[in-house]
Amino acid sequence: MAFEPILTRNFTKRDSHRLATYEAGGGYGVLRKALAMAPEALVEEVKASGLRGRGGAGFPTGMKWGFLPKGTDRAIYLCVNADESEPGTFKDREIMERDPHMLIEGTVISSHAIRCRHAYVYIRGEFEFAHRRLREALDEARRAGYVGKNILGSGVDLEITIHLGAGAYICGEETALLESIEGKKGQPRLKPPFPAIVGLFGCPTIVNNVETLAAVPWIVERGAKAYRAIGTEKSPGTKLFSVSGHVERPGNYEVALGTPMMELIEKHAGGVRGGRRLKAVIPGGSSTPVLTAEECARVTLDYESLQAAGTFLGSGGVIVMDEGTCMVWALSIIEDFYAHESCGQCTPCREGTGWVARILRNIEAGHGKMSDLDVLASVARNMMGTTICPLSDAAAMPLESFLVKFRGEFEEHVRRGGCPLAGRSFLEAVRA
Amino acid sequence: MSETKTITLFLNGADVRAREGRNLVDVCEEHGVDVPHFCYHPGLKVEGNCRMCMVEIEGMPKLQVACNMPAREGLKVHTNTEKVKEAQRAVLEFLLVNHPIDCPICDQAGECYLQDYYMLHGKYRSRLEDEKVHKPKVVDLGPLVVLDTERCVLCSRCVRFCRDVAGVEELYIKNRGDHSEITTFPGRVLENPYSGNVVDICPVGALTSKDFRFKCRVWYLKSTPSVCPGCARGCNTHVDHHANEIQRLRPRENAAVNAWWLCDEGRLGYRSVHEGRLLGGWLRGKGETGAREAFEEIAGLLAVAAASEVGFVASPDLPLEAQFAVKRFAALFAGARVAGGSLRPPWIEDGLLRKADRHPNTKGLEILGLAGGLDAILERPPRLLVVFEEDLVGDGGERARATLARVESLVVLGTRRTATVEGARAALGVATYAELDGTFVNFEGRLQRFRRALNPLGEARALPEILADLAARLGKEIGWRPTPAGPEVLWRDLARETPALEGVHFAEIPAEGLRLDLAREAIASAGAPTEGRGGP
Repeated sequence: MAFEPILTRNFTKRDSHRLATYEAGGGYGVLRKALAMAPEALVEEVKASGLRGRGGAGFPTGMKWGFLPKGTDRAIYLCVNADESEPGTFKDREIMERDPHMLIEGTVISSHAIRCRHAYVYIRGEFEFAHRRLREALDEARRAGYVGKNILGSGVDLEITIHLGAGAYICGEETALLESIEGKKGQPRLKPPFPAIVGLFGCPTIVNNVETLAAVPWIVERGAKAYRAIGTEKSPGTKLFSVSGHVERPGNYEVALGTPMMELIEKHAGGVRGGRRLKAVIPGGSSTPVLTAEECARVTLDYESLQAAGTFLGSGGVIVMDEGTCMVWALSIIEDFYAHESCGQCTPCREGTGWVARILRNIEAGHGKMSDLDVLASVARNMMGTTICPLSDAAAMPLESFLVKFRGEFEEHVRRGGCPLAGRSFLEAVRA
Repeated sequence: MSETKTITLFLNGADVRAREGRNLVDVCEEHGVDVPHFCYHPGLKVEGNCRMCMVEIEGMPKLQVACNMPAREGLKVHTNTEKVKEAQRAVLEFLLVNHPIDCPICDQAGECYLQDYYMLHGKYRSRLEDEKVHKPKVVDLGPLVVLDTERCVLCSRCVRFCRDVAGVEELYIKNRGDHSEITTFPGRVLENPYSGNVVDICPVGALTSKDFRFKCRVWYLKSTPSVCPGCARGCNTHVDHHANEIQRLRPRENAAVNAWWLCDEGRLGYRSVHEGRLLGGWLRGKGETGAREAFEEIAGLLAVAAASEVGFVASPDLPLEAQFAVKRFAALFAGARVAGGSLRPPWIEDGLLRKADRHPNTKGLEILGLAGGLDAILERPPRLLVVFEEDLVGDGGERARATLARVESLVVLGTRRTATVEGARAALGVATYAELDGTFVNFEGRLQRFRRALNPLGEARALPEILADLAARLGKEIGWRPTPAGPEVLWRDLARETPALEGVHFAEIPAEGLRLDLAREAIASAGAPTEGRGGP
């Protein structure tokens, strides 16, 4: 059976972001049906589809919706997480830029499913273009009666507010996102209580990723069974993978979950650039443990295969590194990022990320000691599982995996008193 | 209510009872189990950011912060497993990564959580050989508080205190990651009337008191439980003293009165013990004299005055024992006029601690039947007016000054050298609350005990002692010997003669104080015959 794209089906159309284009392709066609359905039935459908959150954690979406208190008289909020900031990830941005109506339709249907009357889209501050596209699309949708009061005569109301962030990675963490919408400093909240019980403005709240919601109209239209027919048993459906780094054609590619990683890299992204050898791949955004070239040959792109390989599907940000990459440098860049983005609340993350980043800079600059490698490993251990949010783990996981899988390179740096790679790598250029 | 439900949980294998929903850190502390923590404070919202109070809970794969774990039935908590200890060591190491470790010059040394926990739970060799992150030092936050951001562990207690307790947004944490620092909001100053509390709750040497720092190493301090005399609230305090001098005041926890807090004026109120005192005597034309000389002068004036020409003004600032002594003393002059009160203008009352009534013992005057009559005395002053403690001239302005100028002999017995003292014929120094054992009755009728922290300064003596001496000198009998006129002796009469104090024993006043109205009900019901009570 030929692969039928779900998320990117309109991407290549002329004026794909316009309402007319979206409607011509059948867009908003399922909305009337969805609004006529009982919210519970929609939740059941999404549950049955096996759709998992595409933001990184992969939590089953229908189950998440099910955590909302039943029969509450408080307002329920849906927050669309469009803060996409995980290094290596740029899929939500393209959805919003190329097919914003798909996200809006998904948001309206999902809001009805969870009885939300006011949804917020929290969009990353740097996404100026995506923000404009989404705003224009929202205006179009509102004028067409897809958003607002009594949508399509169904009696369902939904207001959507777009909230532009100010450029903090941590605001992609769902509770930091809520704090930010509330006008506070973006810092994760201590849990419990979880947002489904106490979320935005103290009300029950669901936070879903852009890509997750974008898949909802298709699921409602074609049914959970059709969605389950794609992908693997535990990872149904398709996913957008953002391929970056040393490939011939970096970009977003939608493939069925379960596709071999090398197929994505070689067939879709055109293989490693310049015919060079693959060295390593970070499979799901910079926070996921790195895979060696050998491991890459064995894994498929689904939650279970990558987890079995000791890493995660994450956000689908596939960072490809060729043989010319200095792994110390690459890791140093990643850890600099987390040190810069740690909100500073929890001790292990605040102090650990900075400490690790400093040691790595030293090693790369040729001032490292062998004992530093053990310090790094133990600091990584101490940073894991001890904080309010997963940023600390996000910094520790790549650190641990780089150290284990490329230890020789770190030792080489210490022995030689500097970086053994003579040529400036792509990452080096980025850093300069 | 489910709040009061008592449950059983297991603490390191032992079963303990606790109120359901109670914070696990508090439950542990109540049962003598130390759960180290920086950010948790029972009076503040839980933020769970320091990650120090990790405990292991059976059935949960990851360590949990005890501060966000309400007590519930059957919870199996372990606070001393290897996993917990390792996590605590790790957090301490992280906290010290960028900490200057300048304990020898840090004012917090000796009462620092970091120092204490390092000795208890840390003790590893430093693995940081790199330069530390440098941040601002000696940051002037406000009139009372100085900040060293390098020593700060970013627990946010101070931020939460200002925001949630004092109700003003003055402090926040700016920047992110290891560049985070406490600071004031742009254009703001840490100057809320409770700002000093942030120094107390700061677990490390980041926030220090401008008033106290570098004055005295804390291990030299002796601490005496006391009560703030600044207003009718009667906040419980620790008087920290060294070399017979108060070095600082700190709030003493009393959930029923002041919780964990103290206002800034109360905090600095100790200065009145050492500044502006009348420590000997005062005589018109001579100025300050020895106590003996003034005593003789006062005795002489009292000896020749006709009782009907004498008036006494008792003060709501006096301890209950002193007020009672005044009452007894005045009673020796049949026909003399007795009043009690003050001309001091009321204070700003807020919802937190400060009361409009700026006296610690107005209620004392009331239960002794001494309250009132001040206006009448000022309207038609007697020839000999004996004022206890009150600064009628200073507080009452021109009108009071003019009135008191008409008094033939104005005598003051008080702690301070006030405008009233300076206008008096004779005055005699009295010991302050810090130099005495005694009691105040606060605004809600709570009898609270304070203890003697200092030896009386100069020639100042307790008022009951002075009045016993004066009575003896005049050939009268007040009911107790001048020395020692400790409160125990005086209290026998005080409790017997004062209906509100019936059945109350000085030595048995509980630490949290005694609500006299409630105590009376309790005593009454305990003493009442059982028949005739209860239902059918």
